[in-house]
Amino acid sequence: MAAALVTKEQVNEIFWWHTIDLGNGIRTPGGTDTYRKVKEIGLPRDLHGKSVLDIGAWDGFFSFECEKRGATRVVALDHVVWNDPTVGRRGFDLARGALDSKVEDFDCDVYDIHPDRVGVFDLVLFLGVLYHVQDPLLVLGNVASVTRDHLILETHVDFCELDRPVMAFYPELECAGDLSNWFGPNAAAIEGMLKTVGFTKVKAFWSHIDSRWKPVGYKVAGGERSQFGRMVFHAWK
Amino acid sequence: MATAVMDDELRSINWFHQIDLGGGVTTPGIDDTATKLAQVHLPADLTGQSVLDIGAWDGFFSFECEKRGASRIVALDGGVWKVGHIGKKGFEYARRSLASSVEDVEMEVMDITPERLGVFDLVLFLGVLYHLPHPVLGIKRVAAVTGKQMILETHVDLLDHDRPAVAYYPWDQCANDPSNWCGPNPAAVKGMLRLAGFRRIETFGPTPVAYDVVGARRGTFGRMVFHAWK
Repeated sequence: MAAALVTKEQVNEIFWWHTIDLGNGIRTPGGTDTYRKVKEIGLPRDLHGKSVLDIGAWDGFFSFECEKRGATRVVALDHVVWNDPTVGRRGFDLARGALDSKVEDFDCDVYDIHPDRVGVFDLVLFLGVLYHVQDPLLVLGNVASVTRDHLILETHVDFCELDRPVMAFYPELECAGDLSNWFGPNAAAIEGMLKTVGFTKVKAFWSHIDSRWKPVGYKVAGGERSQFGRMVFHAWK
Repeated sequence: MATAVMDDELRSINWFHQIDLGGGVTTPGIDDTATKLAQVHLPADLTGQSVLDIGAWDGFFSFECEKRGASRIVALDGGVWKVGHIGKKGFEYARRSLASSVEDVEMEVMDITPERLGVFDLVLFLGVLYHLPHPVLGIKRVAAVTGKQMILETHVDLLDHDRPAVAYYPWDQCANDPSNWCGPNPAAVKGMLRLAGFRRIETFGPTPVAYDVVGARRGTFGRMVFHAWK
């Protein structure tokens, strides 16, 4: 199949989250700098022979990136965003056509992820989703059940000054003024949860660091800037 | 009404609650149940009320609600009644001795639904929350079978933090017991109760009785009681 021809007008009609280079000088005007993020998360350069599941795919940038890096099968999974009437799946569909991509799409809520439904994948991306769920350990258990080998988890973190496992809870608008943000776990809590759900090795690092080496992230009402930020976790079974 | 004596059967049971069975016999439980009863602030008069007691164990609080006039009481337990060396023997012995009409249901908190259980005026949820790996989901399940009021008693942690926070115990950080999963602070418990549909909340405590937490300063953890109304 040949790549679909896409015009700037078509691109501009869509609310984009991901910045995606579609070729022919067209780059989607996304709200997030995906080319910076893909470096921060430490996505393996070579994914030849791997199957990849991208949970919370949105416009699909990371799925398309895995395909470029040689993954044999890539499934983009989303539910909340793709079913949001103001956002939807138009961005993903347009980009997939423009890139002539074979990435598969699967509409599934994270609470319904199960190997019988979704399958099992060598690499699972779980980027920017964990803090949007009310039951993080339950959902991480679902994610682990479809991970054969390697998970890359990127998330908002809070209470970073504490060594023992703690999660901030945001029952209202405490985190970034966004009602869909529920939890801000610290690194020890995430590592503990990952081990609880069956991963044996965990590596953690800060993702977004500013020019003065300070973590950047969602603001938390009542929290000090040194307490919160964004982190990346690589975990292996 | 049956009269209890300290017989061999009673002695063979691993009691948790201290229950006055009459005739001068109190079950030799390891729990200071009288102190807990005072801390829970159970209403003195429960005439005409239906009550669900989640995590009933030997049933002390169920029997106490019956004494206070509740019209229907269901004692519910899951884990404890299935543990080989504890089981349901204490509950059944006490119910027989007290000639009580308390009903029993074996069910896990995560399986609670109004279709399966019905809805109760008062729900007791004592000493269970911190055993749940998914506390938000657990409170929502319990809220779904609560008609008016919930009395929640729990281990609390992070008392030195004002904003809602939950300590997580992946291993045996809390009381050296791997079945303890989380220690919410009071703001987090209130936030979860509101999220589950409760509008008015009163708190009691923290009480001096406490589970130790590895890595936490003394005085920053304890036990608290929350009364919540829909």
